[in-house]
Amino acid sequence: MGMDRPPRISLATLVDLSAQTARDKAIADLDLRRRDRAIGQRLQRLRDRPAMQIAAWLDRVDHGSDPMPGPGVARASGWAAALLGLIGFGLGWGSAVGVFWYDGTHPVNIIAVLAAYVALPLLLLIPTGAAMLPLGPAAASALRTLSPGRLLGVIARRLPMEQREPLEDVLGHVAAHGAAFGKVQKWLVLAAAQAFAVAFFAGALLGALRLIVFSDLAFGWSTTLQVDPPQMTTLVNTLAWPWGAWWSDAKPNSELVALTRYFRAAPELPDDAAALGQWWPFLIACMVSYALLPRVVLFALSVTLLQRSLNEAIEHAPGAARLLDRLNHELIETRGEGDEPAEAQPEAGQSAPLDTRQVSAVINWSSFPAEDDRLSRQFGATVQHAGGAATLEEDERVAAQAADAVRAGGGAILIVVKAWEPPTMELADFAQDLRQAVGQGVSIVVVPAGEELTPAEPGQVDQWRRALARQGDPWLSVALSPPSASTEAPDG
Amino acid sequence: MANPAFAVVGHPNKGKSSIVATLAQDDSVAIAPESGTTRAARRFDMKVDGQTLYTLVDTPGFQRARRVMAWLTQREATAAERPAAVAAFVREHARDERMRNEVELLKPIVDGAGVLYVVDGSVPYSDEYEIEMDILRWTGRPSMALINPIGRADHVDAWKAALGQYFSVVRVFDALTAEFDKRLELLRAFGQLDEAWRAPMQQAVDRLAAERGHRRTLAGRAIAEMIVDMLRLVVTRRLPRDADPAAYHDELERRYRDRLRALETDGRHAVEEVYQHRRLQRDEPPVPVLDEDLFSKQTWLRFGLKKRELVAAGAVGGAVGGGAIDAALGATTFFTGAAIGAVAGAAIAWWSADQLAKFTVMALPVGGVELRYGPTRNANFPFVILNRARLHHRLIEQRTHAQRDALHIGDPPDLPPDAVKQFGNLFAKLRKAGDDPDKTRALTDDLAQAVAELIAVPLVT
Repeated sequence: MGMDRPPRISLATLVDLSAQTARDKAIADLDLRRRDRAIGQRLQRLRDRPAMQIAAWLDRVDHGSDPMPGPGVARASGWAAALLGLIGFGLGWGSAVGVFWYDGTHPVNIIAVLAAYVALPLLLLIPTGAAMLPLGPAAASALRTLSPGRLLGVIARRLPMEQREPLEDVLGHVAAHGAAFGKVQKWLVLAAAQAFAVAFFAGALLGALRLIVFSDLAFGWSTTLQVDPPQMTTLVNTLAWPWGAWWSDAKPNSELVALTRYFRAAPELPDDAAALGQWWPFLIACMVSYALLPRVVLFALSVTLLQRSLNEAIEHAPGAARLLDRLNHELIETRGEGDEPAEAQPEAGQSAPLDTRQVSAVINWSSFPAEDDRLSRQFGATVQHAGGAATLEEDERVAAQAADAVRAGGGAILIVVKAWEPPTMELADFAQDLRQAVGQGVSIVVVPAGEELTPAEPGQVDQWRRALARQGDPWLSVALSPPSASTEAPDG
Repeated sequence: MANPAFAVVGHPNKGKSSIVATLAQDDSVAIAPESGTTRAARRFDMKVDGQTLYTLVDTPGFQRARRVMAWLTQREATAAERPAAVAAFVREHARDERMRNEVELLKPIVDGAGVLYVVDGSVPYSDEYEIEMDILRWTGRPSMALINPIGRADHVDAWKAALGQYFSVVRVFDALTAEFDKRLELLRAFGQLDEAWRAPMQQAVDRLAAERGHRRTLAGRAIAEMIVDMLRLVVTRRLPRDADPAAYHDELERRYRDRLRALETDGRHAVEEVYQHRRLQRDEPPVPVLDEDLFSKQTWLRFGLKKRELVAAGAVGGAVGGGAIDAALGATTFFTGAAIGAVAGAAIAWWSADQLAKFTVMALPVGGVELRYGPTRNANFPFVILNRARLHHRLIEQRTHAQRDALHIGDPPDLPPDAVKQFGNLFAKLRKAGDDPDKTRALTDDLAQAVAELIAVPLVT
């Protein structure tokens, strides 16, 4: 709330996005959805501006303990841009010193000034403009090879390590993800080139002004070509067209043109020495209008287009579509919280050998579906019922009767159970009651049987053995049915 | 008003957790043939943007039902007092370790949850269940019985007859195989248990149905991105100028195939993640998600197109190219251009059917050469990938979260004829786009949408 400051989108945003996407690969999808939807719900006002939404998300998302590369990139590119500007400015200043060179012997040649600060800049606009066109990758990269924007890379390589590394990462990243970042690279180089040009011409302009202000310059025009003063006047007037109407000082008239022509072979300096200085407003206006201003405009344009390409690159960066989905699609959760607590399974229990000739009592546990007669015949003892629909009191009575039978006969007690049902604690309780009633040393054998008294499946027997092992009763065992056919003595 | 909650209760080991795993789409729920795998109640909230619409509660099974009943009947409560008696039981046994399961399973019901009583329809009915059902009846809560036939449904009719006497609603629900619509239908039925639950449950069902569409969109994108990455894959190796490139063919081809496999595996994971099947591989022995190897001859024949179909697909792609020439030259040549393109496309498809990709040797400006393998020009390849991904998606989409066995691939489906045309067209355009990022991106979007539509269509086997 209240943090409605629109996020700034820069190269650092793009770098941070790709770093965060890489970090998020280690996080489960649902956790990402939870995290990002919570942020996304607060960013719904930016839903129609995906790049802004992503930048705002980057501001809010927890980056973890590792620092993000973005700020380093921002710092490094700031340094590189400053250095680039400084170099441009210095070179421009130097060019002015050369072009406006005056040692008192020959005046500064206006033709040379016009060539350096009008003709050449206008000519250089052609490749710049061409590089800005949506060309094929080969042509575009060939054009950019010549661009001073490439100095950015050269400078980057000379920065101190801490600034250099993140920037090189970015440049490497741009190369690796050419598909997404190709346009960014193009406009980055072009914007750098325009910044360089602006700095260059600003340096030239200031250098020229310094010479004009702090020394006296004499201007004249001289050329081997067949140019007569009227032609020169026409040229000058044409160049002065943009400002001629409102700045007459910067529009030389035909007299001045005629007066300031000179030939090196026959140097006749005009009588009116002051007239020799009257050219400077025109020249300064030319430098501003034909060198500086176009580059300022192109710089503004390329920065705008760089911004747009950054927006596009962010919207289409790998992982961005998924991120936007996480931010803007409602989060449906159905899973349980936390993990299931794991329960250690006991070892399958031991069992005593079953002597079927020595059975004193058979207990049908929980309504095993077999006639008493049949069970009695199978196991050789009277059948009683416990568990299931019987009451707890009935269970106690059955336990007491079984104890009596054991005292009389001295054999084991069989409990026939449904193999397909799982053991419950009720059986364990009953086995304990039975043990108390019959005393130590008497075998109690649980017989899990299938329907029709078929032998239980191994998996079924195992679960009964494991459950009864929890009782810690050495005379409590599990045997397969029918015991007459195969007596099981597991673990022994 | 409290959200609807449903306690899934029953005898131990009757598939309660399977039902919860399937409905909550949660493969972390422990399911084991062992009795008493669930020891504590666990909540599964269905939430939309953090707001709970309903809650499922997985509970441990009854262990000492007769003791609970004995305690309750000692109270000699009238019918009106019975729910209070159950509440009193829960209160008084809160710290009783022996009654832990019963307290865990009755507490959510006492707190207002509806009762979902689960039985196994593959084993015979027996009267020991009646005490459990009596206890649940004492709670006085709205209830439903679910017959979950674990294995064969041999005894379902007997169960229906018995359960019908205790529950007004009895349903058969196979947690292991229930299709999505069946799951939604069951949730809707939960809503019928109480008038106040109807609206939130309907809302939940609507959201889940919409989410399914959303997931297909996400899966479609994942598959499309995988296909594009595989189609564009190139592996390279720098060689000294005098090296014999042929000596490096095997190594490069092996790397190419390894990368392709890795990309496909990544794509599989992405789709599984969309459907929240994240334990599919981790918890199991190293069974590959799909049993067929991508490069086996078998796969090629089963999932790809037959040569005859390939020629048709190639012709479509070629005609697209030819059509583009026509468009450039004006409509007069239209059919000529398309026809030439179709013939050329068909021919390329025929001759490249058995070849994955080609080697190229490029001179490097810094000296030496670079050996490249890929991208694939094989017309069959993207169809193989697409068809495999389609089958995998279908298996994953249908798979319930109660299923814990390895994912096995079944009989191969045929791509619908119009899909062959449509995708042949897209693949041809993708190939043509080459390195153009904007075109590739736009085509990936188109492909994602086409795949999302394709995977929504049931497979014909």
